[in-house]
Amino acid sequence: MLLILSQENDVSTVHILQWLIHWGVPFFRINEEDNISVDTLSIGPNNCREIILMKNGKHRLVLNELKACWYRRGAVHLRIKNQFPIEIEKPLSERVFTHMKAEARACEDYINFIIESLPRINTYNRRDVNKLIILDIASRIGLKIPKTLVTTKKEIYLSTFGNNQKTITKSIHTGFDYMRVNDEGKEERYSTYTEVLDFLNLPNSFFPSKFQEKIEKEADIRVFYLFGDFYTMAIMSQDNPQTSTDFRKYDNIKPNRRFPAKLPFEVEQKLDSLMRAIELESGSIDLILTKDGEFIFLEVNPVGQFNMVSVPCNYNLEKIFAHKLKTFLS
Amino acid sequence: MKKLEANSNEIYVLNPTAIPVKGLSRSILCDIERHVYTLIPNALYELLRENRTGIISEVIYRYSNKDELITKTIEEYFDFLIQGDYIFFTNSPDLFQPLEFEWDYPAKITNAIIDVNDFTDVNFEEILSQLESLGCYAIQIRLYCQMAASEMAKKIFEPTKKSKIQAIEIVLPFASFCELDSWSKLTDLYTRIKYLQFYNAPKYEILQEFGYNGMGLIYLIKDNIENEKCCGVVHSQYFTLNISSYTEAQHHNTCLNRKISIDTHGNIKNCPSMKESYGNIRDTTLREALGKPGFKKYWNINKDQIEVCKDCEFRYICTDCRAYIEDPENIHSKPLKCGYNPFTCEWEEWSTNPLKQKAIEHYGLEELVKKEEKAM
Ligand code: SF4
Ligand code: SF4
Repeated sequence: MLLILSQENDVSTVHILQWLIHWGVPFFRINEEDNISVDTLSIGPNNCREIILMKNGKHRLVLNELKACWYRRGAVHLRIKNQFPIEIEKPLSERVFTHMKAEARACEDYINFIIESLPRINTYNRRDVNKLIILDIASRIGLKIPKTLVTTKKEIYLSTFGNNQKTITKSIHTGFDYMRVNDEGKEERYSTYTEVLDFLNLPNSFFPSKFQEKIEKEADIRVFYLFGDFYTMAIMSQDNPQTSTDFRKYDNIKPNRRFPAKLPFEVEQKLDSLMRAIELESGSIDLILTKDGEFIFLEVNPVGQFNMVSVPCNYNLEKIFAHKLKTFLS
Repeated sequence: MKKLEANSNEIYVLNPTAIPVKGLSRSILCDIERHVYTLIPNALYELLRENRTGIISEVIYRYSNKDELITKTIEEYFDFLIQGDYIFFTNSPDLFQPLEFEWDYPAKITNAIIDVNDFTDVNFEEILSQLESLGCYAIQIRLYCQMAASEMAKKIFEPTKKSKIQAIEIVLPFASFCELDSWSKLTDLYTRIKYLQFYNAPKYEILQEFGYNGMGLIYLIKDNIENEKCCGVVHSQYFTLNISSYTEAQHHNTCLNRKISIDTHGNIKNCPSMKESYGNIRDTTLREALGKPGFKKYWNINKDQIEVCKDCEFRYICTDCRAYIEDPENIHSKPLKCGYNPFTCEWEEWSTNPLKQKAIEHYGLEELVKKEEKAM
């Protein structure tokens, strides 16, 4: 049996499961939204353990019989209710509830520990990667990275980049995305894109912000990585001012052309070292191809969207990925 | 030509998604990213085959031997390639790889046809659940009898509300039409309806466009689809060009691969027009029929194996028909209902071609052919 940890609405999970179903590979899916409870959790002498979980009160999972795990998204949440058999008054009841949550947390940690020891693709503990740390490791490994600065002062910005260097600003950690419905019933969306910076508008001091030199690029490179294999796509964006900074601002009139590509061997080797260093079995990697043919590393995302690379390049990554999961069982 | 001059000493690469296909007398350039194709001369095909990447001025130098006319022609070729965005310029030509043509899909069956006439006795709920268990995502239901919107809701859509089938196409006679409103409501209510096509209508007309989800088209066509014998017509308007159809066409039959059908009598077949039946839905499950020897015998016949088609520039974007073929004795002969001749590059009326009369008789298509002539 294969364990799959995900979220209810994740389409990539559905695409992988289609293959597993097609091949008759047994799996058990836990979504973050599911109500998981511990049925048995016994640790005995002679290296013997039995861990049985219940999903939504009806599906039974014997954790110690699992052969492998794919961590896609979410977490195993043990649901506990803020209810007590006898009446307890406030601050005490709050303290008790906090304590109960910590107790449940210990079980969750143990469950994650057991899952982590399985053959696996990615894990809960590696779900969130710190972009600054990754940039640091990438640079140490010898990948080219853009000059990056986090500061709160215009002065430091200017002494780093001067006033001629074009720069972009990016979120330090993850992008921001917020949707609301305004008074007229229309949807309004706020989100951070990678933007070209106009430093003249910078105040003298500001909230810690990340700046990166803007690199003239020929293409954005997106790599899907799986156990040392690289599936690479080039997104041609240079001719198109509307998308030359961030191709996610999709241009509906003239779509960016997307082509299959193959990175030079040394770049692949370094990226492989990076992925091993940060212990990700799979993920998507963003790079830039400069006009001079250099590859500049930008970032890694542990939960890459499959079909974004798979469909335009006809890689059928979903099948390759599902096949990898299948081989865990044999 | 300004752009050509500016780029003539840079390295170009043919877009990996622009794929030249050679025919007997001319070629096409398939743009599978933008879903369009363009006719090109065979000389340009050869040029691209030998020079997927290169430097324009060098290519011209090598081929023209300083001949002005040849130089001008090749310049025109490159101008066309630049204007059409079929090539791009780069300093990293080795990065770009040709597209792989692998094809696969995680389902035993991907598409199905269910034929229905006044005498058909089908339980849609049962059939759709069987199809779902085979992984099928697209179904075409062809009605050779009238059905009102309310009846269709009750018989087909209500019982299958929870089914995971993604797209259902309905083909039915214009006589069922009455007014748009009731059919519009049907597509609003059941969002899995890909389209409603009313045949034998006074004119061709789109009455309701596809919605934002690519579903819910309602349109009229003039052709009369009175029974399964009307199927199998090959025409450029039926060409499909996208990455999945194109790659599937490299290995499989473009019509019959992973298809299952139920004809008006309940017989389970690869396609309703075929002779071979693999059991009746009354006593055989679709899965059982699919497992019988012979069911999949057409699935791997691609156009490269079919006479005439194998030399046709449209072979990977064209549908293939194995139910009606020019020589019924030869499983690899050309689709009967195609009037295209890749040698002359002309489309002719297939039904009046004297060489096809024997096959038309063999399949009992004389009546239909005559009616169509009158209608024309
Ligand atoms: S094989 Fe021919 S008759 Fe059968 S479904 Fe395909 S096109 Fe129609
Ligand atoms: S000759 Fe064959 S491939 Fe060409 S249009 Fe006719 S049926 Fe299609």
